[in-house]
Amino acid sequence: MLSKVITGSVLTLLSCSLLSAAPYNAQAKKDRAAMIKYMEAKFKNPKTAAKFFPYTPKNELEHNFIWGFPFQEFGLGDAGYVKSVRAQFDNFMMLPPFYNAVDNGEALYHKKFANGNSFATCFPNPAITNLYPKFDDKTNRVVTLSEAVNNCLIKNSESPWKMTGMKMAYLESYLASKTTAAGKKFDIKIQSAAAAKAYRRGKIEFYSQRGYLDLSCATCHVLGAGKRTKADYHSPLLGMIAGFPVYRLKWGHVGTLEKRLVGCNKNQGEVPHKPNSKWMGDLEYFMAYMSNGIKVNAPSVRK
Amino acid sequence: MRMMVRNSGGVTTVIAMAQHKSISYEVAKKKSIKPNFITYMVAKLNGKEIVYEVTMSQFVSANPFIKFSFKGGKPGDTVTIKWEDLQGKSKVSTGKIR
Amino acid sequence: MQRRKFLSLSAGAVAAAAILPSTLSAENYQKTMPKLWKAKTTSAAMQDLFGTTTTTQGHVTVKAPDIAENGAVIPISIATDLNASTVAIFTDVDPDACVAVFNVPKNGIPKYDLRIKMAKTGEIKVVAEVDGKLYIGSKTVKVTIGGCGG
Repeated sequence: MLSKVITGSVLTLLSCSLLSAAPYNAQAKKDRAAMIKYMEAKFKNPKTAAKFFPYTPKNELEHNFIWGFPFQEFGLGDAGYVKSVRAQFDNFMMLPPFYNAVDNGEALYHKKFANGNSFATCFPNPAITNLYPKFDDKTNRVVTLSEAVNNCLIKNSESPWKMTGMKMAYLESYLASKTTAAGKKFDIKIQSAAAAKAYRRGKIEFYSQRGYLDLSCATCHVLGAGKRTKADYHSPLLGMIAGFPVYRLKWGHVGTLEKRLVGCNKNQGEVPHKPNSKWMGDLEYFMAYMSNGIKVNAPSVRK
Repeated sequence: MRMMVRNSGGVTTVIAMAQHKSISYEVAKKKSIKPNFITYMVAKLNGKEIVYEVTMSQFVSANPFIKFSFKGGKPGDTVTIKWEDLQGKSKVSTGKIR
Repeated sequence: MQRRKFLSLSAGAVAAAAILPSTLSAENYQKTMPKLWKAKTTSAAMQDLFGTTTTTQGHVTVKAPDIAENGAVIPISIATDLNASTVAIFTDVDPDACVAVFNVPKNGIPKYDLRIKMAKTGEIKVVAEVDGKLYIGSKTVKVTIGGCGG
């Protein structure tokens, strides 16, 4: 028994010394720095923009864009860089259409389960949106905010909620509004080898072409950031996650990140991945890490 | 109804959003339900003086958002907004000028 | 409702119409002018509401997005610097042309925000009635088919 313990601790020490030279988030940090450099250069000014937007007409570049906007405004999606979208966004935010959702979410947060507990028991501080997704070493998977909500329900003998449904969207709207009010920035952690692997899987998913249109997420949201599909300008990956849950004008109500990603899958021409799948968790983990440093700005309004 | 009332320089500005799904005549026909939308909104200062009045069609967006201003009003005054809809229902909300 | 018809009769009649104080308005045009809301074109609607389609360009500003994010929720800001008694919003791209009609009360300021629906790309026309004379302003809004659904 003692020898097992000694061997175990020696092995741990060895692995620690081998990996301590490179912290688990080293590659992710490099990726994010490169992404920020690319995005800031891309949206800096119309003169240097031509090389990023070879097919965009000059007068569109000159008239439709907000150039050199502050870093935090990457959290506004296409409202960050398109003049017309920003004007309408500001108008909608005068009296946000999602105020109902936040109120409903607050009620759900305090509503008692059968056993007397509530979400307040699992999440005593509701300002937590900026910390998810987390990687759980014990279960060896990414835990998104929606999954954490369901874990709380299951732990308290309640039925889990649909991740793409309204209750989840309402509760997350409340949590997001508290997080935004607290001025919190995304602070996703990669603190183990397994977590680094999940990040890497998410990155590969983001950059993989799939579906009958052969599109990857990056086609539209990295290379295509600043470009249009018909009349829709694509939001950049940087800060994309900051506005969720989002009130989509198209839906006429709020929806979770999972709801939107399922929709994106369908638009790409593939059978959508399940909201609680490893695929979706890994992808959200990657997306969220890339927005570290951006303030949570949710609920928000998008087209 | 969400209401924000601001007063400065003798002018009161009101921003409000009524909660009302808008069911146009076309949608009502398709779904065999009653058409309904807000048809009229009126705002009064201290319940007496009309300071805003609008008649709306089915082409005003659902959950009507309105912004208007009027000369007058001082801290302590109230602004009431009443809406009526096509089916005859009405609702009154009150906001105070701080 | 009857005073609208006075406007097109004679100059003498205009004076008579101007006497009516607008704080007593409280007029719900959906009830008093049901035909107005079925008018299919802006001209027909204007004829119904004002008794004339003669307008003067100017003094009316219409702010609206160049490209609407969503055709069902288009934020607009309209204003006139004149002492208008009525301000009306029309568009020819919706099944019926009259969108909304504001009565301007005594202390009301003819400056309004609203969110409207437009079925497709077209013009928003805003007409302000000032002492029997009509002033008009307009703005074209593009309503597009989006690229990303979901």
